[in-house]
Amino acid sequence: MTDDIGKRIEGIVAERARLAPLVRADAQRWRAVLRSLLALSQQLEQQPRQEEPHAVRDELVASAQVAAEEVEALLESFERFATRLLRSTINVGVSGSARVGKSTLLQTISGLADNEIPTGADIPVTAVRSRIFHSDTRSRALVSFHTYASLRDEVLAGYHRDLGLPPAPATLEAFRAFPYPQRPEDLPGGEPSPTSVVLLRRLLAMRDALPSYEDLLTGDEREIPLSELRPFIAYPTHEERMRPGHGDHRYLAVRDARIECPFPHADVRHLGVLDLPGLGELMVGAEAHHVDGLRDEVDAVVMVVRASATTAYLRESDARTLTLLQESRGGVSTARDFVFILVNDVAVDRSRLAALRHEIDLKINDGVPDQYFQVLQADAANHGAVAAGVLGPLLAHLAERLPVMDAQIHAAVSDSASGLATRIEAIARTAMAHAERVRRSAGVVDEGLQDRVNTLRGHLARDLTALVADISAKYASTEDGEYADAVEYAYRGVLGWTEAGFGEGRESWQARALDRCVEDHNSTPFLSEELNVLRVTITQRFAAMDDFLSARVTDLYARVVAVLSARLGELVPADTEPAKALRQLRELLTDPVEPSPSLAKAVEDLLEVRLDFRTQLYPRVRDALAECNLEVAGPSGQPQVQVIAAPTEAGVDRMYRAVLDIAEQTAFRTRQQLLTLALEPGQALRAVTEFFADAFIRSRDSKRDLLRLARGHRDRIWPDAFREHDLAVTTASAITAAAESVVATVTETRKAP
Amino acid sequence: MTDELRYRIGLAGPSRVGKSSLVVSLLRDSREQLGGLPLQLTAADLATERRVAKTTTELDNSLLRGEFNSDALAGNVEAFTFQLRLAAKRSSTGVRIELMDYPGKWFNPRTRPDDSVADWAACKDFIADASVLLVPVEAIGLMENNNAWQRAASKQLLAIEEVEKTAEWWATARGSYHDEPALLLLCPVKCESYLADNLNTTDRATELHDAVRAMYAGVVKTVRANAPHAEIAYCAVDTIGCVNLVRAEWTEVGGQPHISAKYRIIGPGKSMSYKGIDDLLTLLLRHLVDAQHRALEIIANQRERAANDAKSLAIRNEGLIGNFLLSISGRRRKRVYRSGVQREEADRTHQQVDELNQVIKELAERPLSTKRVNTW
Repeated sequence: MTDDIGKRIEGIVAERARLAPLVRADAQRWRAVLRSLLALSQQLEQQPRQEEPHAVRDELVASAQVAAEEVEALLESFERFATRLLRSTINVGVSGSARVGKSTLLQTISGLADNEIPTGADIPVTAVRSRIFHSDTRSRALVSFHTYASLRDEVLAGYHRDLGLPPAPATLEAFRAFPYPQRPEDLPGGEPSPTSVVLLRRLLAMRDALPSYEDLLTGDEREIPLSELRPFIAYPTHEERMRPGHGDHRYLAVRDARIECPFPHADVRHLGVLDLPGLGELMVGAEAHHVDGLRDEVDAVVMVVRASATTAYLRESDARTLTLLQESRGGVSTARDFVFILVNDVAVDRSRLAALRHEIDLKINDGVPDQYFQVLQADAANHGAVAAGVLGPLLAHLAERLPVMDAQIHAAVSDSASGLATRIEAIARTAMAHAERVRRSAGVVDEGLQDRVNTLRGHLARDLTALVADISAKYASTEDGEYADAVEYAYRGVLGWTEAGFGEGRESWQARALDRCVEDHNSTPFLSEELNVLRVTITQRFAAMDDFLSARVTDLYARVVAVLSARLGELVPADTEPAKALRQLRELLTDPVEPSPSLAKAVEDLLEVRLDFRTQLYPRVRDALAECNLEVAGPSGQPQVQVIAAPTEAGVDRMYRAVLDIAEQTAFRTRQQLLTLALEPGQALRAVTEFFADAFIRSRDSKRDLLRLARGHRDRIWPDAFREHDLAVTTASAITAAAESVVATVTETRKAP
Repeated sequence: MTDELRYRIGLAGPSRVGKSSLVVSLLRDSREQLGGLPLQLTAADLATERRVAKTTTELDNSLLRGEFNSDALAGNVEAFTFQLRLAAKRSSTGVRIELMDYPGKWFNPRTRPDDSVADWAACKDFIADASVLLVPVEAIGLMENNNAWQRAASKQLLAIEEVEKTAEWWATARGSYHDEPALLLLCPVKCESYLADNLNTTDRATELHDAVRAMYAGVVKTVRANAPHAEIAYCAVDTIGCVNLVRAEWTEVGGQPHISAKYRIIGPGKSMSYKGIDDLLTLLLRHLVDAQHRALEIIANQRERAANDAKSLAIRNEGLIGNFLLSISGRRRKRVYRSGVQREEADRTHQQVDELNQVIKELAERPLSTKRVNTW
């Protein structure tokens, strides 16, 4: 190995670090594509069920979902590639069947001792796959432990599945108490296979050994001195197993072990070696795990073979391993760049070495040496041989070929991205066309609306005309009992007040009158003032009719609201106070976006109706009220004083009776006059109703304004009529928007540098 | 006084409508009412004089108390026939006017006591014999009704149904005497609050006139049908004058509608201030004088004929022997004397007719209130 190779590999690592963020950015763009694609799929699925577009929709949904899966796969490729690029080391995986010298090779490359990475001559020793990285400064192991959950999901679940047992126990306690069959014959599924015999034995052992490792199931990562590492990564030795308690099983708690130490051949600083599980070992999910491990973490694999006494030739497991390695090369176009076969040149096997190599050349490389796989040969235990025969050619090869391999992977991912982008874009465009068909099939809403508005207008005209007739009929008779009652009520109120001595009592009034008249030497000023006050009070008391008049207006509002509510639906809520409902309608009609000024004016005018005593009735009874004055016009028009009394007690008594008579007479005449006006409030209401009906239905702009109102609030006026249409149009719009979003995100992926 | 004719005035009105007040107001201070007319209307007997004085005192007393309540006046308990005499001032001859007042409850069969059947029969005979049917109309009940119940109550209170029946038999009787004048007088009373020509200022004269015309349409119709020659007149009267209606309340008393009115005294309040009575008197006098005039003309003609016949007899040539015998027996002288007497009687009657002609002229020239009087 030369410095040159080391520098080139450093350059590769640096280049990869530069490239990684760009790949991540690509992945990010594709995640956006995925999101938009899923959104499109969702929109398509939400489309209301309709006959013809439905089949098209289903096809689109299926295509989108397939494409989404492809994007997910693509994202995984991006992610895997990014992970590869982000590694700060060049990783070499060491693979091979059990007992061919893998661990020996690892020891030789890493310089670790047997008590650190165990090797065994005959039995499998590696319980945990180590990843060993060169470090100039550190010698340590970082061990991460399982939690029970990760142990259950990653280890126990596989055993349970393969043994046909129920799902693995949810908790540690449940695992401890789980009623496992104690004999293979008791396993479900009848005659047990040899494999299941072994698996059951291991599972029971794991459970039995629980006390030795359960404390470690913390999920923590711990730094372990290398001298103490062995029990965490290796099976117990035979001797240990013979001890009571079956020895140390702490390795069962270990999820992963990363070892850092100075490699003896440290020409290449960015180097890591990975112990890959040996194929053929009886491990749950071992092969799949093997491939997964390779794909993400190694740049090249060395498959160790050995011409041992029992297996002089390539074993079936070797062939299978090679097949798996082929598959795991990912985007690397040739297996030759990725997989190396190391023939372990062990002295005792030397006699069979030639035969093995011959078989490799013949069977694997099709008679042409190194055609498909490069074959290395070295004694895995020999440092010098490994350096020269394995690391040297391997690293030289990688220094040359890694940029090519990276480029190949990148190209492969980009190619599949590009093809996928085109397909997804096509799907999006098909979805847009589909949305347009949906939109067209929903019909032209304005035509339907116009028809509905015309009908609505007709109904409103009929109802409001009927309302006018109803109001006219109701208030056509002079025999308006409610009105008469209101007048009578007010009149009785005045009489009650006068009879109670004008609210202050006769004696008090007379005392006050006497004081004042004596002071003035004259009754006229007092009487003049008093009668004025009485007149005002009587007027105010008759204004008690305002309650009645107000109720009449409210009744009219309620009737109008009933008519409008029946036709305009929730725009005029029938269960709200009528004036409030009308005010709400007015607000809607003055909506700045689509105002209906003529209708708003009609409602406004209706709301401004004033029906009260002062404006409606007072002008008609003011002559009667004017009688409550000291001076009135005499028979020939000359002023005539109604009361003259001496400022004496007798005079004041007479004065009181006279004033009482005048007040009562004023009240009586006002009442009689009011009773002749029974038609007036009704006629006013009738006029108001007619005016409203005319303005709402027959004014010049009412037709236009009703259409505007209907356009703005059609769903509230006809809650069901436009639902399907709107839903179809909304869905179509949503599909279009989703499809456009897909196109946009796909376009973004093409802008990638 | 052999030439004194009797005229009867019948009254048609139920209880508390104001019959007595109307009659009394006609009679008290009649000199004042007749103004400068050469006529005198006086009580013809002591009972009439006393009756007028009593009712007048009751009214005056209620005014002195400073308030007036129509309910305070006592109702009649028996029939009373006012005996009046109307005469030209310069003549000793005149007409006797009889006016029968009766308890209002007799008028209405619903309120008429069982023991009054005979009395009421006499009243009916009197009315049938009357040339004038005077119908007092209680103006308050007529004017102060505001709803259907009050309108029906008003009709009941004024006993419109009974008035119509009474008018029918009166008119039927009058129909038999085409040559005799007949007069139906519809006479709203207590009109103080509805006319602005006395002490009040509220003018509801037209409203009152129309209300009477509407309420009594059936009466007018039946009179027109049965006595086409009868005159029909309307005359609104203030029977108190110096009062003004304060308020009126409709109630039910013993199942019968009742309106109670509260009045206040207006003006100086010291005395009555009649209005319309003069018009009523004028209308009555026009009728009575016309009737008297017609009757006297007939008598005058008869007496003229008799005087002429007597004169013819007195100077008739009955031959030598006949003339001698007349002369010697004194019969000629007697014939001449009788002729002279009859001439005097005829001439006196002619003079009375001439006097009445003058009165009729003056009555015709006497102005009537356009607000209060109308002839239909």
